[in-house]
Amino acid sequence: MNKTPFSDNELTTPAKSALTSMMSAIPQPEECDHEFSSEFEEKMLDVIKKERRRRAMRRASKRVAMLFLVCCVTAGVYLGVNTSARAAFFGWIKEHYQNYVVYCFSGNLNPAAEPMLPKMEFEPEWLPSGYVWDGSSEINGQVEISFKNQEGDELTFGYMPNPAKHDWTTESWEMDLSDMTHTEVTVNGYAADLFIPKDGASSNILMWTSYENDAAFCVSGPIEVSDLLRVAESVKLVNGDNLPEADGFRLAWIPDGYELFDQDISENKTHVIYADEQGRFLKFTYLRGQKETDLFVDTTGATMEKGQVHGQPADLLISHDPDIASAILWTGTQNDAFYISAFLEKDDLIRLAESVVPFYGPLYQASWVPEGYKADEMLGDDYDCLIMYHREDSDRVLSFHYFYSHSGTGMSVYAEDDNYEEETVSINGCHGDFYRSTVENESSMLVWFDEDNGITFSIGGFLDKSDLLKMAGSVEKVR
Amino acid sequence: MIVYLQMISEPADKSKFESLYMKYRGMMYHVAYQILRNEADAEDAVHQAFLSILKNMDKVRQVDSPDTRAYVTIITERKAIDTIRDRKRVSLVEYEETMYGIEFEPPGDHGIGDAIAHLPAQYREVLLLRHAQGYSTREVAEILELNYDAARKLLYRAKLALKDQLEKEGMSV
Repeated sequence: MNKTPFSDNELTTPAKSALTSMMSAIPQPEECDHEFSSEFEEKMLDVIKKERRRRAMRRASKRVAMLFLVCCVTAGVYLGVNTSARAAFFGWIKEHYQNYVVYCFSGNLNPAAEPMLPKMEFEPEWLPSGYVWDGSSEINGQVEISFKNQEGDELTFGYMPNPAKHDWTTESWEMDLSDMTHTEVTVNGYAADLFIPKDGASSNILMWTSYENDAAFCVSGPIEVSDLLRVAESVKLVNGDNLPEADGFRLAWIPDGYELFDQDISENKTHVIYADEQGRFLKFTYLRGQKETDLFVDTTGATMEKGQVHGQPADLLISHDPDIASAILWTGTQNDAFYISAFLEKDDLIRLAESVVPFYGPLYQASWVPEGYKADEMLGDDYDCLIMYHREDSDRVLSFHYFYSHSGTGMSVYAEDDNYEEETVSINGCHGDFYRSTVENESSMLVWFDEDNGITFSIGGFLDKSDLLKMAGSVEKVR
Repeated sequence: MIVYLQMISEPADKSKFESLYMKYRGMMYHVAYQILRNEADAEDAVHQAFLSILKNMDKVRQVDSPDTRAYVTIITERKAIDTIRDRKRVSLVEYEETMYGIEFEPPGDHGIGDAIAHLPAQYREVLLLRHAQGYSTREVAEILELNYDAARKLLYRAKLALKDQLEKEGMSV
């Protein structure tokens, strides 16, 4: 190869001059305003979500406190913010985005506020020789306990109640594990994920979720995998309330393409049907405390196989007819019966079955609802709940949504601001905003925040201000 | 639903990438649009640029800095040119040597600086990354998503093109 006539030193100064000239032709970021298309926003949202997951994993591999990052992993829409438009009030930050108004709670919650997350404390009963307790911390209900040996090696145990709320267990499969090898293992019969750093120098990490305790766990440390598993299998509930009896169960994971089609939920029975675009059904049935078999399953043309759901035995009916769904059946600890049928392969049927989580029903409800509206759909759980009301004589829908903010965690309300008039209101002594639609066929919205309890509420629908305020004023804690 | 609710992490927990996205996306669109003259294509190029930046976040030292502003500009220019190239399905070398990307006035040193400014975009970009921004050849390879040998060859070709440009402008090397 011929020698080029330029040394690095010769090029540095002129290259910098050329770069300066080039950048002087580009406007400053603050001067560039462009309203991006929704397609672009959606694509970037995907990028940001993946980046958060990747970041969470990276941090976890360094800090080991993987569980504490779940909120970041599941964080949602993020948009450019005009910080000059900020106006702080009541511990909220109000931010104007291109097409949105965002309320973000930035202050600490009232210490007297009663967290809605279940109080449970876990500890490993067995530790490798030489490790002793070194410290613990709790952030947003997520606990990390550190153990150290004389050499200063750190073993960390962390847990977080109810990961299903964040749908974290299914999201985690998309993580970028370029720095680690991933192996599926079990911890006391529960599916678990073992991450081993490729460099061999960092800590091994073991993560799993426990259906029984409705919590996610993580153990990590520079110890052998067999010891890591032994620590994990020794984890016990050492203090706290047992979980209340669930109102029912639901699927935390639904395969892509399926949407809710119909549901029938009563005291002792949950029957939910999802359908895809081809009209194929995915059915989930839960029967509480069955003393006799109430579930009749047609096994014609199916092969019976044995499987496991969270370590519990399950029966699989694998269909060989493309027009007939396969199914999985199993029983819970209280003689509950579960049944899922779907046009899925065996592995996805088991994944569906293992996504079943307890459901505790809404903690807040409106005692007054405008005439003609009937609650017929509920999504979420007791601390993040959306209730939909449908009007029987029209397509009109009314939504009531509340959710609990962990201390220090931001909560945002996104409201398109082009077609609404905003007005400050007071609801049961709480600050709120009423958004009146100024265009046809757009519903109005009321948003308010109970700072004492850390709850954000919203009601949206085709109602006038007085009805929205009346319904909001009737919202109360029901248990 | 006109309003929906979402949990977000605290502002302090926003990643460098998200901060970078918030700060530069409008400017990046401007850069891409100047080259592509089409909104959808420009947005596509910005998206591709962010994907590329995300792969190399370790190269971004500080979000709010002239270096980072220049870095995202170069990446966006590259992705905008890639967009045109991909659509026209032309071969790399013959096409790249006709693309000049961002239009700007040369620094006026009547020497190497001016010649760099007059180079086709691919050569200017690699020289700016290596010699103005101070990235190593290996880092340049990562930024431009090339293998190391390809990056070395590109730098070599850029220097030859610079030599030709200087001669064309009547300056001896």
